[in-house]
Amino acid sequence: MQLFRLLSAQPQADGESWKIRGQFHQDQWYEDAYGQNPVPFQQQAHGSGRSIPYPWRPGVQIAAFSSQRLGFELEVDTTVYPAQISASGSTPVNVPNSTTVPAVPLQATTSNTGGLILPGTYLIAISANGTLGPVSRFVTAVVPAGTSTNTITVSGVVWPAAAVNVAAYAGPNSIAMVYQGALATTSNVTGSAPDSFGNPTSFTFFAISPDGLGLPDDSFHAFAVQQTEIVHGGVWGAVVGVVTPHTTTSDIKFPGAAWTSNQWQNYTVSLYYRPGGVVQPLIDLVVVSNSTDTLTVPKGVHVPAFIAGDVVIMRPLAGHTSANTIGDDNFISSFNPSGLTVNAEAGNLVQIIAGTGAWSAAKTVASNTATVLTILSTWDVMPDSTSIFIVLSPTSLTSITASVLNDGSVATYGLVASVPAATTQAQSLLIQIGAANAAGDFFPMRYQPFREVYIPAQATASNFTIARQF
Amino acid sequence: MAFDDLIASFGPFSHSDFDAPSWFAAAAWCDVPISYLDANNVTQSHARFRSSFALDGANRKTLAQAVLELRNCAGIILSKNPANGKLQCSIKRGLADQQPAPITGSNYNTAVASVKADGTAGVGYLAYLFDGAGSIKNNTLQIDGRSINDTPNRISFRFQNEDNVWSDDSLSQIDPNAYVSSGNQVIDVPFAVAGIPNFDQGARRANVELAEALYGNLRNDAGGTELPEFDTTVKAAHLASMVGAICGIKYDQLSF
Repeated sequence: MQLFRLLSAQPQADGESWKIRGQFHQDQWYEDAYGQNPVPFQQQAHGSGRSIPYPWRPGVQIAAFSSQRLGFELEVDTTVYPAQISASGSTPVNVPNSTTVPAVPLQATTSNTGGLILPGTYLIAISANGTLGPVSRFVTAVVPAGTSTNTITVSGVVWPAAAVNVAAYAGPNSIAMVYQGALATTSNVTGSAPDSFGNPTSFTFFAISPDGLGLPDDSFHAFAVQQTEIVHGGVWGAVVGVVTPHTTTSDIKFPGAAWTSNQWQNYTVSLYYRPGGVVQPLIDLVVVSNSTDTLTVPKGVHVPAFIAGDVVIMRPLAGHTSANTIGDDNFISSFNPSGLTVNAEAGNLVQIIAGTGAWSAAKTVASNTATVLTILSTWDVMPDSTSIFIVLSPTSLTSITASVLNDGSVATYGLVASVPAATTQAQSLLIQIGAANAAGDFFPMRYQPFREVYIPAQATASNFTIARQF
Repeated sequence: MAFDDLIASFGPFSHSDFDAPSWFAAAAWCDVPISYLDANNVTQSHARFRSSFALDGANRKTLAQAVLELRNCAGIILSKNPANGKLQCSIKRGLADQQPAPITGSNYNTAVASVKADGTAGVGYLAYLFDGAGSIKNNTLQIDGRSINDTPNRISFRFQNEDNVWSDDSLSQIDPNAYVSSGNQVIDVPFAVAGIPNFDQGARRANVELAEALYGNLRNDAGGTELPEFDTTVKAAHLASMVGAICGIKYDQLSF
């Protein structure tokens, strides 16, 4: 016996016979679980060149504050007037690829052993052709808390044709997806046995790289470069005097300093400008200890980390935080005996750039004492002692570069933007570069990579003086 | 009730034309909470079927189109109650859930093993059992396939996602078996549906639509659903008002 669902029942002319029409039926189709498995495939949602591009991923292994934030390669040329700021990185692929993407499930499964993936939520996309894409829709993987040895598996991938170069992207959210490598070369992910096209239908991720190239993005059109005056990048700034390297640390001396012992222990000292060289290293090091005029810092990746003549700033260590304040008693130091000028910061912006609350929206300063800033309203994310903040001018200068067409056929790394510095005076600048679409729209700059740099006075480039207070 | 309001407000019906008990029973079935996995892979619970839609001047459609789209939102069957002539409403289900008791007018009141929506075993009763040895007129049985235009391997539609602040969302469901058997061609057929409020309901409706289009055949593969058609030797008048009912067919020559 076979079941069928009645579609129509019509009497014949005499009513003694009926014409029955149906369609074969199976009960299990109407189980709730049948409808929920397999899970649905998603549509393409991003792309078409009309969206706002994803935040720029320079693809450079330059990260500020222990990889908390991407940077890009920055050059400052002070031999020209005004100084020229140039940035290098990888340009997003913005030409749609004709290769057809695979259909993927909405969700992935996880295992708590066998890998190196930490708990959290991840998005995954499969590329049909390496860094050129196109990529599939995003698969969500929720790795539960418990172990740090997790793996993620994406199963049920359906390919329409043979892929040129199967690869994968992954990241914690859609604006931070990072190339994990081609299947043939990466150890982060492996594929299952091939289907009839030679493509794997299941992918297992053992690790997820936090940094690298971003997604191909056909909305990308050009770069937006935003320069903002840094009113205070730290509690003080100074030029490095003598540097004495040791095995694992370096002593850097600051003439004229009169600090108390270990006043700067656990503070972060950052490079703002290195004269004599065009490429500006990105250096943020935590102070091990200090004497009256000397900081002891780790060597870091650069040996030694700092050299004589470097312009550095000492980051604040937020000792005063509340729902609407942030501050540091060390705004008052031997370099700045009076600290901040009372209420001189009103109207400026305070931006947390590392630690808790990093790159939540900048807040307007309502008032300030010599050591504490009070903002209008309250913090979006309550800062704590890990929060490193800077004070910015409320206005910025944004310029859009010429359009960039990148089909990935040539090396994508290189100069992406070169703009004149927005100052001819000795001034520190926050440089943020974002990927913009044809209309000049871009993700908010707080999601884009950034660098901070000190621009020396331009009148006599070799004879600049810097303010003690940055 | 939204469906009721739509027909009563814009169609040639008033609420007194509705067979209220059947509408209430259908609504109660839709209200049953079922579990599902949300986008974060967390088990949640919501009503089996709900609808959420708006008709406005910028998106005009005929009443017939609106009714069809809402029917597809939950697999709704409309028919006439033969006892009182009123419009009755039911939901497409498996035999045990849809026809749990013997049906007046049926020639076969033996319980048939079935499975319920929650996956547990149950029994149901056929609206009629047609037999090639008796109730099917000789040489009239033919089994047709659905046309290519009625056999999609992918169903796509847009909806407002209640789990994402009612933003525009879309769902595309592909049947991998049908995709492969069609020579790796995507065959899209418009799925007229409105009011889907979330991915889970959308996925369940899309999967059932694909199953009804693809897997209703004697081979139990994705080659397309088959449509039996035949003349009876008996009066089957009670079936005239039972479109959507589940019947049985026996035909020894075809081994079923």
